[in-house]
This record gives sequence, C-alpha cells and structure tokens, in this order.
Amino acid sequence: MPDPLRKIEDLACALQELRLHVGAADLQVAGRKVNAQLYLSLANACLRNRAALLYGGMGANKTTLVNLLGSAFTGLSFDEVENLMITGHPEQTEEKIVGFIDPRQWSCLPHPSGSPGKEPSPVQVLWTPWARSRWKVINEINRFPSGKQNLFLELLQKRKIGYAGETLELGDTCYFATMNPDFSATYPLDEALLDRISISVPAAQPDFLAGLALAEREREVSELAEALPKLTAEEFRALPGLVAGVRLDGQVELSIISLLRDFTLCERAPSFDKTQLTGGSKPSRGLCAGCHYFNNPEVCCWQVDEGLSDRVRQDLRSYTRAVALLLGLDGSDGLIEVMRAVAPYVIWHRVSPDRTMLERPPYYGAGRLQYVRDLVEKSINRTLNERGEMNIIFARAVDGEISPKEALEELSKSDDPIARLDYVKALERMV
Amino acid sequence: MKLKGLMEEAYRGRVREKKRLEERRGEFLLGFEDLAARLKERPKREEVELLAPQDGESIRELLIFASPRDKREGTIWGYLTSLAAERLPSPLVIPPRNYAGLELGGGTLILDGGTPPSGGAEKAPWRRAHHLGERMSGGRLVVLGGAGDYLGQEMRGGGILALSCGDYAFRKMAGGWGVVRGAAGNYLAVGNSGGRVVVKGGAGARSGWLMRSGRIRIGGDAGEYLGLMMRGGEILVGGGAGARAGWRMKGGLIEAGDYGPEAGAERVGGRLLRREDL
Repeated sequence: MPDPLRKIEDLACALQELRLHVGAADLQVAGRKVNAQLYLSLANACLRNRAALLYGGMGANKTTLVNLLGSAFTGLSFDEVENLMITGHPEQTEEKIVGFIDPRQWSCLPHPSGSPGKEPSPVQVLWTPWARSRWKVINEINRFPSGKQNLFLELLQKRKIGYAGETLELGDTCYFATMNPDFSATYPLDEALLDRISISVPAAQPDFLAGLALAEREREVSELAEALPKLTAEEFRALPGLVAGVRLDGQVELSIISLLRDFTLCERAPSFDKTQLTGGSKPSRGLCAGCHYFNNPEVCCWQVDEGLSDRVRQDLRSYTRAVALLLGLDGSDGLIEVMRAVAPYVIWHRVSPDRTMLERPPYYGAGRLQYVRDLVEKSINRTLNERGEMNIIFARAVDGEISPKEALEELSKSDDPIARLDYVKALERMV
Repeated sequence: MKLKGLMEEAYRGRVREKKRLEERRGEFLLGFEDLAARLKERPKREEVELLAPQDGESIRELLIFASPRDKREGTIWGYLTSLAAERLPSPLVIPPRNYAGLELGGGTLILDGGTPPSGGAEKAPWRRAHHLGERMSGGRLVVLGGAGDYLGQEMRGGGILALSCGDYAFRKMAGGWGVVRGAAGNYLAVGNSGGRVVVKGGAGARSGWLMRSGRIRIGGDAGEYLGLMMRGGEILVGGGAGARAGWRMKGGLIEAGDYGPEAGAERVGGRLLRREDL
C-alpha cells in the first residue's frame, strides 16, 4: 500500500537536513508553523492542473526547490528535471517551447501527401520534452514578452497544446512558474494569466541562521538531490485522490463563498459584480466616492479594485484540502484554520489593493500579501461571527421554512453587503 | 443537503446576536490628507473635532504621518495637536510645526525639535515654527527650542514656555502666562488686555504697544517705543529701555533701569519710573 504522505514528510525533513531548503517557518496553521514556500509547493505537487507561482528576488531558491521537488515526485534525476524546464527570454519561440514539425517526414517515401486523390496524412509534430512532461516548470515567466505569455494562458486554460494542426493532450500535470520582481528585462503579467495562476508564494532570501546553515553545505545540489526520498509513479498518481478524499465542512465552504462575495460585490457595478468593471471605473478611480460602504474598514469591496473569479473558489478548495492533508489537519476543526492560512496566497496576486490604504503603516506600500491577509481575516471572522443570523434566515427562506417576504423584512434591516446585494435580491425574485 | 443544513454545520448552533455594520463610530480616516479633504476651506475646531478619531493615540498617529502643505492644512494639524494633547493621559511630544497647540484647552503639549546645533536654539531658525499656542485657553505648551512669530497670539488661558520667540509674541493676549527663557523679538505683547509675560532676555522694539492691562517683565534690555500708546497694565524692564519709551502713553506703568532719549514724549497719562529713583 503506497504511503506517499509519509514520504513527503520525509522529503520535507530531508530538504532541511541536506540544506537544500532552509526557509523560515512563516506560515502558521492552527498552532503549527511551516515554511510557506515549501509547503504550498508541496501542496501544488499533490494537485493536478493547478499552477503555483514562486515570486521573489534572485537566488531565493525558487527554481532549485521546484526542480528538487520535481526530482522527488517524478523519480527523475535533478539534472533531468532541470533539462525539462523552460526559461523565459525574448528569443524563446513556440517551436522551442512546445514542438516543431518533424522535417524527416518529407525526406522519406512514401510522400506524406499520399497518392493523388487521397487525403493527405497528418503532419507529424515533434513535441518537446517539456510539452510531454507531467511536471512543467516555467522559469522566470515574466521574462517572456507579453505576446508569448499568451501561450501559457491557452495551455493553462485548455490543458492541451495545439501546433500545426496537431493537438497534444497534456493530461494531469503539475505546473510551476517562477518570477522575479519587476526588472528592466521583465514584462508585466497579464491579469488573465495571473488569474489562471492558482497560488502565488513569496520566496525570501535566507536569513542569518539559514545563511550559516547554507555555508555548511559542501556538495553540489544535484549530488545532494540523489539522497532525497523519491515517490514511485504509483504514489505520485495516488496523490490527487488522497487530496480529493479530504472533505470540506460547511464552515469552510460557507467562508470560501462569503470571501469571494466580499471581494466581488459592488453596489455600483453592473450586476453588483466587480469583475465587470473596466479601467476607468474602479474603486481606485473614484467609483466608491459617496458610497456608504466606502471607508468602512469592515467592508472589503472598496479596498481592492478587482473581484474574484470562480477559479479562486476552486483553488481555495483544492489548496485547503491539499495543505490539510499534508499537515494532518483534515479533521473538521483544523480545516477553517488551513483555509485562513492558504487564502491570502490564492488571492493576493489577483487583486490590486487600494493604494492609500496600502501605503499606510504597517504596509508601507510593500506589504500587499499582509494587506490581503488582513482582508481575508476580516471576511472570515465576519462570516463566522457576525453573519450567523442573516445566513440562517436566508437559508430558512430558501428551504421554504419561512416565507421569502418574512425573510426580506428581516434582511432588509441588515447593512451587510452580502445580505443587501445577494440575499435580498434573491428573495425578491422568489416573492 | 439543504441550505439550512450547510448553515447549521457551519455555525454549529453558535449564532451570535446580529450586528449591523459599524456606522459612523467616528469617521474612519485614511490619513491626514483624507481628513483635510473632507473639511471646508476655513475649518473650525469643532468641525475638525467631529471628524477626528476619538482617542488621542489615533490622533497622534495621524499627526506623525501628516505633512501639511499649506496654511489651511497647517491649522487642521494644529487643531489635531490640541485635541490629542487634551485626550492623552500623558504629555504629547511631537516635532514643532506651525499652528501647534492651536486653541489648546487642556493637557500638555511638548514641541521637541531635537537638539539645536551648537547648543543654542537661536542658531537654528530653520526649526522655528510660527503661531504656536495661538488662541489657547488652557493647558501647557512647552517649546524645547526657539518659537517663531506669533507665539501665544490671542491666548486667553494656559501657559507657554519657550526658549526664545520671534516677533508678535503674545499679541492680543487676554489671559494665561508666557515665559521666554531667552530673548523675544519685536512687538512683544502688542494690544494685551490681560495675562502675564516674562522674558528673561531682552526684547525688541515696540513691546507692550497699545497694551490695556496685564503684565510684562523683561529681564534684559527693551528696544525703542516700549509701551507705545499703552493705556493700562505694567511693564517692568530689568535693563534699559530704548528711545521713546512710553511715547503717547495714556495709562499704566513702565519701570526700567534706564531710558533712552525722548522717554515719555507726548505722554498723556500713566507713569514712567527709573529704578534708581525708587
């Protein structure tokens, strides 16, 4: 019976012992502290068709960590995994990344176009190892020019690659990307591509003690990587099933939906949906001036420009399950804490916080993740502590225990954006 | 599962009393600029008080990160210093800026500009803030360094202590007290109708001009036109007074160690006393 979880635990310990990953324990989940960069990458490795972005300065162990995990999860050597990776630069072409037409098909008989009057045989494409791999690493994704980034957009969206009329089904794949902050040779990432990145994890430079620990490392990374425990193909395949086996309880499901609505609802947007807003009409461009929610610190809507798509809901559910599985917190009490810890990493790269708020202490314009973490905290706390009565009233009305009119009367007294813009509108349709 | 089932699982029977979103528990402010943007062109203290946070600590935070750009924002900042000083249990210590302690009614405000170069506040005019303690009615204002012009203008109560001051200090003062440990500029205590002012060093020209009541004590020398056209009150000068002391004075008392030329010229009333004659 494969036990991949035990092996993953051993892998995390081995990475630390071999000085291959020495990140600080910066992710607190229900009293346990772990390293976000490592554990969220491990969570991504347990999932399929989700993309994790490691974001940080040069030498922060982003690419090496992903390749080490790739070696451990796929059973390949470190060098082989490194060779699979593609790295961004302006001269990268689709042919180099995904594949090219096999020229040999025209140099041997019979001719591929076949005999006159017959259907031509399909063009043969030589897919690159990267395209065929189930562990795809896109190194320095923001060094790809904007036009070439669209290739990944299509790939992450359709889970297949098309070239010269041929299509390659990618199957269940683990996607990782790394990215530096804005430099002179980087290009901004498109919002649509950012939305398809499921989770984004900051990678920090080693601190003092970590630096000392790294100084003790004498052998090359590729040599040390051989000592890491490796999952068998069967164990690797079993991981998504184990993650899917973690059941999310009502508390987590409700908190996730409420979190999405807190970020997305806007009284002034079409259909109260902030994702419908265009460039000129955003909270940061004065959309909220005079709105009675504006400047209310308990409300999230005016504090970020963008709404959240349904992909965020899917990602939140997946990563909550995966991290809960990795940390052994798949019991109902720990799940909400896992969700609380994971949610900021799923959201922060997808939204632009209000500049005025972000520039104030303790954020100083740079603490974007912390700012989103505080918003997430507010939303979850509000859902669990303040929204109980309105949620029960709405649920009873939907289930037919009380009349929608009666529920409307009760909920019309509430100022909560979800009650006013979601529940009341739904009940009005039911009356 | 029905929706109610999901909710019951989520709340597990722990539904708190409903709470509406907090509304208007003091204005939520994004910062000093946000507060300034919400006030009209010439804001009054009451208007600032209405929008400012309730607790002194929050006001102090606003003050520290504020950068007033013009006179209007300077007065708003000044009102905030007074509100914070009144509400904090301990003295409010902040760097000096124009209008600090504007309409201060209580508490203690300490303006600390850091150590002046060469140990003398007089050598650091760039640190001087103007209009300090203007229209104050109570409390204490301590300036750890030199004050600029209009120190304690129109004050009605409270006390001010400064190392030195510029022109027009304690102008139109009606009550309270002011102590300047060094020298004062020109036009000290012009048009006073009450209050007590002590300058341990010298004072410039026209001190006590149009004074009606109150008391001024100058430890060093006073400039020309001391007590010009004064109608009441007392001016005591430890050193000598300049030319034309008590010119056209109608009442009150001037006492000095010595007088310059034309002392008491065109005097209608009041008394000029030379200390050695007493």
